Amino acid sequence: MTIVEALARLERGEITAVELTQQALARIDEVDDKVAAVLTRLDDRALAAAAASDEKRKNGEALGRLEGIPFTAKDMFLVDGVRTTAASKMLDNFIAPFTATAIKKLEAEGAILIATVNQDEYAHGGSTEYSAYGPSKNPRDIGRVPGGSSGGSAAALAAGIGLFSVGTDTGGSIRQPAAYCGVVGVKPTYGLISRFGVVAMASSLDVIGPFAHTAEDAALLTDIMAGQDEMDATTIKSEKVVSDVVSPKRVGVVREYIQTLDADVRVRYDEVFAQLTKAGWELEEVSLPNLEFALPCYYVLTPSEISSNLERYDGIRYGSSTESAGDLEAMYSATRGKFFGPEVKRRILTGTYALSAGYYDAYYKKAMQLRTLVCQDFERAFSEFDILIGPTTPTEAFKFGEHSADPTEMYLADIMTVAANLAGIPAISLPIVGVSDMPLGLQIMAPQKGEAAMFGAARDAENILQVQLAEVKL
Amino acid sequence: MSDYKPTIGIEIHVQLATKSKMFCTCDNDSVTAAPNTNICPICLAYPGTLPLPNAQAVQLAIRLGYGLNARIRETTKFDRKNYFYPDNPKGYQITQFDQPIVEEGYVEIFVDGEFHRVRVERAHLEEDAGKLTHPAGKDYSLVDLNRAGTPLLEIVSYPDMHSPYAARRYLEEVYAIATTLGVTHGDMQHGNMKFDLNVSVSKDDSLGTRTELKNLNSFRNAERALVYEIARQIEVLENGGVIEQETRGFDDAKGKTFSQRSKEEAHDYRYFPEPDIPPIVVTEAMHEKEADIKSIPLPIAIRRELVELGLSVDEQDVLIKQKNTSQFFAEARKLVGEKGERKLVNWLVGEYQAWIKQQTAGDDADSFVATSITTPFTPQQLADLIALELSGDISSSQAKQIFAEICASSNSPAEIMQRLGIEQISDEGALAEIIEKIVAANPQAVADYKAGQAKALGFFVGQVMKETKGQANPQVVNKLIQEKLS
Repeated sequence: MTIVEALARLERGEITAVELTQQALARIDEVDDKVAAVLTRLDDRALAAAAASDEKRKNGEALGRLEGIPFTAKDMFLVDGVRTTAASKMLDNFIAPFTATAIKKLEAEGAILIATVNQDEYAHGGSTEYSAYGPSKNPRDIGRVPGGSSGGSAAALAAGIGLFSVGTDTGGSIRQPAAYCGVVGVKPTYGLISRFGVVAMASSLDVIGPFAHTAEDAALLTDIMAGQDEMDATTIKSEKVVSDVVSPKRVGVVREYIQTLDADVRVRYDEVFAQLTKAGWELEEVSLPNLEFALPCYYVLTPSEISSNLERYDGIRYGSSTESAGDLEAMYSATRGKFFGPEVKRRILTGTYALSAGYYDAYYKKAMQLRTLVCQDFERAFSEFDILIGPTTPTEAFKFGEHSADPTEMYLADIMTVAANLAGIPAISLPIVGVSDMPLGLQIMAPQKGEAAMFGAARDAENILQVQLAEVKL
Repeated sequence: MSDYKPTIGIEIHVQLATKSKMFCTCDNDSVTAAPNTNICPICLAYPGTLPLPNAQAVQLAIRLGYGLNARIRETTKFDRKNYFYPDNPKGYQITQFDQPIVEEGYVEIFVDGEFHRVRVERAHLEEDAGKLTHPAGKDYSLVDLNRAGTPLLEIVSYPDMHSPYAARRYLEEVYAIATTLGVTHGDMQHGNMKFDLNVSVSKDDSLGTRTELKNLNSFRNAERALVYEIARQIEVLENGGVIEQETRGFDDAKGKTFSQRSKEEAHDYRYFPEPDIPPIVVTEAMHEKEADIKSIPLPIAIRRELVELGLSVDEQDVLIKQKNTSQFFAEARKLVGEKGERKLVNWLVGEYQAWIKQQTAGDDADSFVATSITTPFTPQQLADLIALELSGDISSSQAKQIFAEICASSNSPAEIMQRLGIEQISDEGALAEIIEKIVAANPQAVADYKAGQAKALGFFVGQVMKETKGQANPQVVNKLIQEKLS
C-alpha cells in the first residue's frame, strides 16, 4: 500500500490509524524473525499516537499531510526518550534526549513511528553485515543482503513493515538498499534536509532521505522534511519540491556507468532505455570522465571525516564505557577497542592516516581536488541535460558473505552512487526488473536543488515502465 | 652574558564578552554556576548535534580586528583540531587554521620613551575547553564542562619583542584595546585573558631555539616567567648546553619555569576544514555594525596625548589601563582646563588609586580592578574641587579631607565644606586679632624672627593655623605676620 492510497482509505473511513499501526506491528511479529529489520519496537508510543490521530480525525481537527501513516526510521535518528544505537555497541544503552528535526517534521504531519530499524554500524557498510546486532535479510531472498547501510529501512518497507522509512545516505546508503530491495530511495540535495539529531557519518556528504513505494510518496516525504533549520548551519533555503514537478526534456545517459555493466545486466538497462525512448524521452550518452576518481576520493574523504566525527565516543559523558583500565589512554583504548566494530575501526584508522602530518597533502588534499573535478563534470553535464540517468548499482543484491573476505570489494558496490554525494546533487533510485527475480535500480540524478526535475522524471518513468516486481513471499 | 638578545612572540587568548557560547545557546557566564550546570547536548557533543556559529562572536572579532589595525578577511572558515582529552568533548576543537578572520595588524607599545610596533600575524576564533580537576589522593579526575565552548579570540603576534618588559607592555596594551572596545569583560581572575609566550635568545640576528611558556594568566607573572626563562636559557648556553624545543609551565610560588612536554611528544592535530559550518562571508553590513569604534579613543591615542602632556609612564598607565578612569579623565579634562590638568592627574593617580586599593584589598596587584569599580564622584565634582584649590580658597589638607568625603558620600565639594565647617578665613581683621595675641604671647620667637631666623615665621603661621583649626588662608596669614613684625 502506498502512502497516497492509505491516506485515501483513512479519509474514507475504511481504516483507522490504530488499525494501520496494528497491522504494521503485526507484520513485525509475522516476518521479522526472517528479515531482522527491526532494532527497537515502539508499540506503546505508536499506538498512543495512532489513537490520538484517530481522535483528531473524529473531531474534525486539522490533519497533517501524513496523518496516521506508520513508518520506521534507521537507528541513526535520535528520538527523545528512545534508545538510539546507530547499530553500535558503543551506544547500546544510549537514550536520546531530544528528537531529530526530520522526525519532528514527519510527526508534526501526523506520521507514526513504529520502530527503529537496522543498519551497518554508524552507517559504515553496504549490507548491514556490519551491524553490531546482526545482519538484516533481503525480503525478496533471505539468502541475500538487503544492502546498506540503510538496509533495515529498505528491508522493512519491502517486507510490509510500515508504509515508508527514513534513512541516511553518505555514499549510496539509501539508493543501494532501495535498489536491492525493490523500493524507491531518495538522496536529496546536500543541505535540503536538516541533519540535526542524526548520528553523523561524514558531515560533508551525509544527507537524510526517504524510502517509499512510489516517486509520488517519496516526493511528499522529501517536501515535508526539507527546509532550513537553525540547528544545522549547512541547511539551505528550499522551494517546494512536490507541487511543481516537471517532465525532463534533455536526458543524459552516463556512459561511465553503463559501459562497465555485465552483459546480462546491461540488457535490462537497454530495455529500460528503449521503453523510455519509445515514450518520447530523448536519450543521449554523456561522458563524465572524472567519475573514475569518485570512489577513491570518497574512500579518503569519508574515513577522514569519520575519524574525527567518532572521536566523541570516548565513554566519558554517555554511551558504553569500560571499567577504569589504568591511565587515560588505557581508558580510551579499552572503551573504543571494545565497543567499536571492525569496519568502524578500519575507517578510523584509514581516516586518521589520511589526515596525518605528512600525508594530508597526498591524500585528503588530493581527494578534495578530485572532488572539485567530479563536481565540474556534473556542472558541464547539467549545462546540456536536465537529468542524468544510469544504474544505481552494478549488480543485484549479493549473497551473505560474498564480499566479506575483502572489504574493498564491498566498497565497489558504491561505485555508481558516491559521485552524487561528492557533488551534493539529488538522486533517486527507482526499482526495475532485474536479471533474476531480484530487482535492480534506475538512478536519476539532477543538479543541486533540482528535485522538481528529478521527481518529475521519476514520476514519468514509473508511468512509462509500469514495473511489476515479483511478489515478496516470506 | 648581557650580549644575548631575547626574542619573544606571544599568543593571547581573549575570552569574548558574548551572551552565549561559541556554538550553542548556553550562557557564556559560568562564574557562579555549579559544575556541569551550564551545558547542553551541543557542548556535551551528543550524537546528532551540530555547531551553530555565534554571530556576536564574529562581530566582536571584527571589532577587535579594527582595534589591532588589522585586515578582516572577506571569507573566513572554521577547521577542526583533533585530539583526545576529557575536557574536549567532541574530540576536536573547532578553531580556524588557514583562513583566520583577522590578519596582519599591529599594536603600538611605549617602551624606553618611544613608540614601537609589535606586528600581529593573525587572530582567529575558537572555542575553549572544559576544566579538569584532580582531587588530591584520589584515583580519578573530575571534569566540568561549563566552560567548554566559551568563545575565544586567539591573537598571534610576530616575534617582535625583545625584553620581558616590552612583552608585558604588549599584553597590557592588547588588554586595554580589548576592554576599551568592549570585546571582553577583562576579568583576569577568571581567565578572561591567557597567554602563551614563545621565547628564545641569540647572540646574533638569527633566532635561537624557542621554548613556549604556556597558560600564563597575569601580566606580572608573564614578565616574571620571561625574566626567569631568558636567564635560564642563557645559563644553559653559557654552560655549553643546547635549548630543547619544549613547552614549559610557570610555577608562580617558586618563580621558575619547568618542563611540561618536549617537541617529540607534540600532538599531530590532523587539522581539516570543519564540514558542519559553511564558510562565513564578512559582509559590508557586518563592518558597518562596528563603525562606532572610529569615535572611541583607543588607548594608544590617549597615550600619545599623555606623553605630550609630559606624564610619566606610571601616570600614563593608570589613566589608560583603567577604562573608567580613562573615560573620567577625558571628561574632567574639558572641565578643569589647561591650568587644572596637572592637579587632575595628581588626584587620579594619587588619592584615587589609594582609595581603589582600599576598596579592593587583597586583589592581584596587576589585575585591572577599576574596570569593575564605578568612580564614586562625577567629573564635575572633581573639577569643582580643583577650582577651589586653584582659587586658593582651601588648603591642600582641606582638599584631601573633602576628597575623602566625596568618595564616601558622593556629595558636592560645596555641600561637604558646609557640613564639615570648612571655610577659609581670609578676613584680614579677624586674622589680625589672632596674630596680635600670638605675637604678644611669644616674645622669644619675635626676637628670633627679628634676628633673621626665617623659620620663626613658620612657627607663627603654624600657631595661627592651630588657633583656627586649619581654616586660615595661609597666604593672608603670611602677609599679615610679615607686616606685623616688620
